[in-house]
Amino acid sequence: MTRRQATDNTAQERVDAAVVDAYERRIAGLRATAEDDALEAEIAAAELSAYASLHQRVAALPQGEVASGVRAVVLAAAVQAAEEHAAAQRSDSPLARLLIWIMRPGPLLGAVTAVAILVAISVRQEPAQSASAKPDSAVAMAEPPTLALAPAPEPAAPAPAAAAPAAVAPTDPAPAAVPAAPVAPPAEAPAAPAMPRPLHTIAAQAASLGPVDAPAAKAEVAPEPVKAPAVIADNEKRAERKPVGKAASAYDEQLDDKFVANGDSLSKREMAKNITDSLREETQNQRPSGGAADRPQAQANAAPAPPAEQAQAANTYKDVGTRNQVAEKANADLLARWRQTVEDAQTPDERIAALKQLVAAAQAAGDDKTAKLARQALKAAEAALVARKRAESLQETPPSQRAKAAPSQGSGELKAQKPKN
Amino acid sequence: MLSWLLMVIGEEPISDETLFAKFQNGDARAMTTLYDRHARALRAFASQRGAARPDDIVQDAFLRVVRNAAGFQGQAKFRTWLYTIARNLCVDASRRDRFRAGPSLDAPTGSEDNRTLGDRIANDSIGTDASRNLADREFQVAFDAAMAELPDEQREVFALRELSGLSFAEIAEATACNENTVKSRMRYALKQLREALSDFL
Repeated sequence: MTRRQATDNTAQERVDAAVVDAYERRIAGLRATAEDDALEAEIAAAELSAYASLHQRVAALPQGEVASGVRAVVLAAAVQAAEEHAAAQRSDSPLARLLIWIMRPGPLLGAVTAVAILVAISVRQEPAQSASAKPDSAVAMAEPPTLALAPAPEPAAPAPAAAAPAAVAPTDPAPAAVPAAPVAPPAEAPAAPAMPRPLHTIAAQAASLGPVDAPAAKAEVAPEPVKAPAVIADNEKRAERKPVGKAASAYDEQLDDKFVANGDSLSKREMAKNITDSLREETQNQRPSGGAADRPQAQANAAPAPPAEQAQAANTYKDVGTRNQVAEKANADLLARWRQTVEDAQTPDERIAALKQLVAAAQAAGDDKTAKLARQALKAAEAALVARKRAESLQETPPSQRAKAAPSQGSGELKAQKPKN
Repeated sequence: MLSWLLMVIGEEPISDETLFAKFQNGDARAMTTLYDRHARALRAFASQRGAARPDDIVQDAFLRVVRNAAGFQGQAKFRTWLYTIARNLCVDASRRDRFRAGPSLDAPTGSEDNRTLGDRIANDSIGTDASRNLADREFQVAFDAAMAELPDEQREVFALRELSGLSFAEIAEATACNENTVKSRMRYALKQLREALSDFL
């Protein structure tokens, strides 16, 4: 149908409607306005009269009666429906009416929205709580730039010249080479202050680092690569053994039951927080004052924990998540303490030793950024120490031998400083 | 206020919607009033719409109204709703009857007087009013024949308007058409009926 045809149809419909309206007025006995008269004048009067006559004849026709059975059926159904309606109103208790009201779309939507908001709030609170439970690694990461840029402190007294060439030998800052090439400070140089063992869980880590100035320990530790803390490894093993899927939920339920069975109504998260707080207090109590008198005790603390103690620690924190949190916290504390030790170092040798321990601790903790910055600082400190000792040896060497010694020492120094990677 | 007073004193008939609201609240007598008000016109509409059994259409339409009373929210007039239901039932019935063999007019109906269906139609279909004269009978037959010749849409509109008394707006709502379209169909129906029944007018 074209647009023209549609327009014509619409116009025709208007004409038909006008005719029908005139017919309606005619049969109703109405003749309202002059416009109606004009319209009816246009339409053939005979046509309207015929329509009116037809209407009268049709209206006079009798309508057939509906069978009486139909009325009985309909009214019986109506009575039954009315009785059911009344019975439903009688049987509706206030509780049932309340349930019906609750199940309407409006209250249902409101309830669903409220639940969604609560879930969203709880989901947002979970990361915040986990972030607060983590060690202050972010705060610690803000410190390395000052650590790396800090100039090496000048030694109070120059080191003996005889120990200089051999002592400066390990200058390779490669991460993997740090544990492999053990620090060999001169015997005269003061040893780096070994940090006390702050926690049971990091005892193995301290053992892997080893005391700086203990030859026996160095000999044992040197060939071994850098180890992750034993606690972390143990946690990883437990995490691997942890069941998945339904078994995982059952595992968590068992953990919950274990907590409940211990008479503690706190949740796992709260218990982990309490354990972390108690460990923090314990660490603060064990923190050394940094004096020389504390060093033997600190070295003793750095020794590997006895197996019984490790087992006790492992039994104390059976929850993998809690143990991971405790291990991360301990690693962060260890890094912070080594960093403080580096800043407190009085001599270049002390600083170098502390930096090496810091590199090892950062690698063990998986803190690559801190390890990199510490390596850079270590390299700078060693270069400064080599330059200082070279200058001192040149001053002590007679001018006639200085020309011979200088090239060999220079080539050896360059060879020693050449990075292996 | 005046309409309320007229309604209270019984001068103005209670509207269909008010009666149906009473039925929704458990008053079965309201449905009785509604049935008596609309059953005959509904049957006439079903008959003109081509239903083979118009009483069945009336019964099914009112039963649907009773069963679905809770779903009527009053957006439309009760009469429009009732005729929409009846119209849909007529459509369904005509679809069923299209594939159903019709009964033989010569077959006995099984009644006591052993009359055939053709005899019963000849005696009953015009009406039961014994006082009806011959002219009325002849006009009835001619009218039924002329209505049968109308297209379905025009016959439907004419039946709803002339036999059931619906307004054009209600017819437009019941048939889902424009009101002007309904009036146009009405004019063509009038024109064709006038030509077919010119001997009686």
